[in-house]
Amino acid sequence: MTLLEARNLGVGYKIPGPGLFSASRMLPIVHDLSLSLEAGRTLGVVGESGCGKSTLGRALLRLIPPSAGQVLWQGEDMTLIPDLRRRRAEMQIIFQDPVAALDPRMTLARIVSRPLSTFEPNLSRVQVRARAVDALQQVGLSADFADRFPHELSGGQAQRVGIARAIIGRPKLIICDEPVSALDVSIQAQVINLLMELQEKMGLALVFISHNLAVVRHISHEVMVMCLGRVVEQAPRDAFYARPLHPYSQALMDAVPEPNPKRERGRVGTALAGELPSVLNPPRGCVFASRCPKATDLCRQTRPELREVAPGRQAACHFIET
Amino acid sequence: MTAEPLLSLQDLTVRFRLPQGETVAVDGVSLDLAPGEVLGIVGESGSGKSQILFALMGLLASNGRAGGRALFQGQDLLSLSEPELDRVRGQQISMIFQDPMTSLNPYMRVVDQLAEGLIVHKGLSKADARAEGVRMLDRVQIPDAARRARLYPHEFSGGMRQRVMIAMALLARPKLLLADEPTTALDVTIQAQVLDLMAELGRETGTSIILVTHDLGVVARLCDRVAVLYGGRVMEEAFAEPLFDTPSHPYTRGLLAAMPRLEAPLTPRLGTIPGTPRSGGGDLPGCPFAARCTERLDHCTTTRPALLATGPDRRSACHLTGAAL
Repeated sequence: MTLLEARNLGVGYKIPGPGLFSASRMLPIVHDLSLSLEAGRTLGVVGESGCGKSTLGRALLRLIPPSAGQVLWQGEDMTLIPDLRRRRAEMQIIFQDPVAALDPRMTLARIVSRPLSTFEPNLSRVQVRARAVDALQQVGLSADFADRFPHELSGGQAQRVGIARAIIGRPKLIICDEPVSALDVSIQAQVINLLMELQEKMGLALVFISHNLAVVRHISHEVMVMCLGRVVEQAPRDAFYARPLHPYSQALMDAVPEPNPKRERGRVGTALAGELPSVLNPPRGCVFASRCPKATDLCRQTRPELREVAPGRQAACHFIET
Repeated sequence: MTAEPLLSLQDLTVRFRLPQGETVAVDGVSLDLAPGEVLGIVGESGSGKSQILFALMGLLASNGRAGGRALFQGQDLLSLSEPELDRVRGQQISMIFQDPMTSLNPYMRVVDQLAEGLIVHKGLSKADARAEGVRMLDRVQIPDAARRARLYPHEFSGGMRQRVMIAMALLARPKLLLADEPTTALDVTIQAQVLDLMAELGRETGTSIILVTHDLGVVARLCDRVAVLYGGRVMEEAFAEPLFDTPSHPYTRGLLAAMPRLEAPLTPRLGTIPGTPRSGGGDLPGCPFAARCTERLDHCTTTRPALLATGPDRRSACHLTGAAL
């Protein structure tokens, strides 16, 4: 069953105009993006800073209103869902900075159970407390964490609390916005394993937003690569990692340093030259043309459309043969 | 190690006075660095990896104190007076940091920041120092260097700022470059550029590099030799290839198993190390890693394993691997 669907979604932010008194204008961040996600599946969204992946995550939950297109939740247009606030029990989000996401003055039990006051306002205090303890235990924190405060937690524990808060309303979807980027390697692995276990147990769908291609490979079923607000490639995980088709995906893959000196020695000196263009001044052709080793005049003039390049695979490049 | 080491850390310790007592951040680290070598110091939060660099540069926080010896070309950096240290810092040892924006002066044009060191330390004229600065920007692949040199740091992207930092660090042609998580704040494609640049410049100028990082991938790309740090102590030390091919310490093995990879076969779950990284370990009688180690022996919590040779050019501090048992 399709849980979440985006159709030609566009998202932008209002920024001040060029002059002091000129009207503000819309700065587009995400362009014409479509996706669909089923229960129990993980869509990995990868891209570098400023590619629009976090903005996409927020727009999918309608925390930011879209400027174009629509988002459907279980087939219903999100703008038309009555009492969306309460339906948000079904769709949750966890963030990169786990400590900043927790109110320092609240006990963990209160932090974790806070969403219930909106989602299930009729619960008794005892029931709420029991649900909080249960949620903490599901993320691997013992019941005695319930009365602690955020400053007593390590980064990994704080992220577990963020996850406990997300699952307390028994969601169907969690948007994970760089949830392990701030964590140490040994803790990152614990949190990734936890998310995968919860997914299996609860049938959760995940949108896993990350700059780390290796982490995304581990957790995702489907991978979407974004560059400057556009999808440049989308494919099932195994096919994608076996052979990325878009030159940008290939460049990202080559740039990731693996813990393997034999592979890495051969890669010294192969970095892409140049920098990504600015969102403020996007190129009219392909978003990757300024850095692409294969770019021609065609790429600089005409933006390649995202098209099916193999069964179940899409890419936006003029030069991928189908 | 055949050549005379450029830098030799001998039982280096770093302690901090805190209201609740003293804490040991670096606990008896001994490492040698050969001329031209790139040494990686890898560890998680609280391992003490950055404090080693701060101690060498005399940059410890005011409640911190370094002990042991740090012989740089035979001279103990820890015993130098502030003016003596200034001569070494500007000219022979440079350092780059994780966040280039906080290391650059936002009110000064980039070219003037580059020139400053040359004027102060090498006595160059302003014009010559600026020309040298622009040459170095060009060298670190800042496009259109002559024009960009006149800009302010905020007008540079993150990757370009880090290249400015590298240019600044290398201007004095130091013998030793200390790099503290230099690419952690950068996107992977920009990180690859900066690592390439460091590798190339190190090779060309013969500058030795100590690279402190949490990222084993970065270590694999750049470093000749690696020291794995935990709780302020060296757990394992080896050349890069043998370390990654046959990690011997349980902590190194745990770290490598916990890293998701692009090219290894997928496993249903990542390997994990239970528990949380600890800061310092000086107050423990045993191995700082013992509490998280799945292969712990009874005496691991009571007797500290020494860092012992486990093969040619390899050392490990573990009762399981130590030659002592």
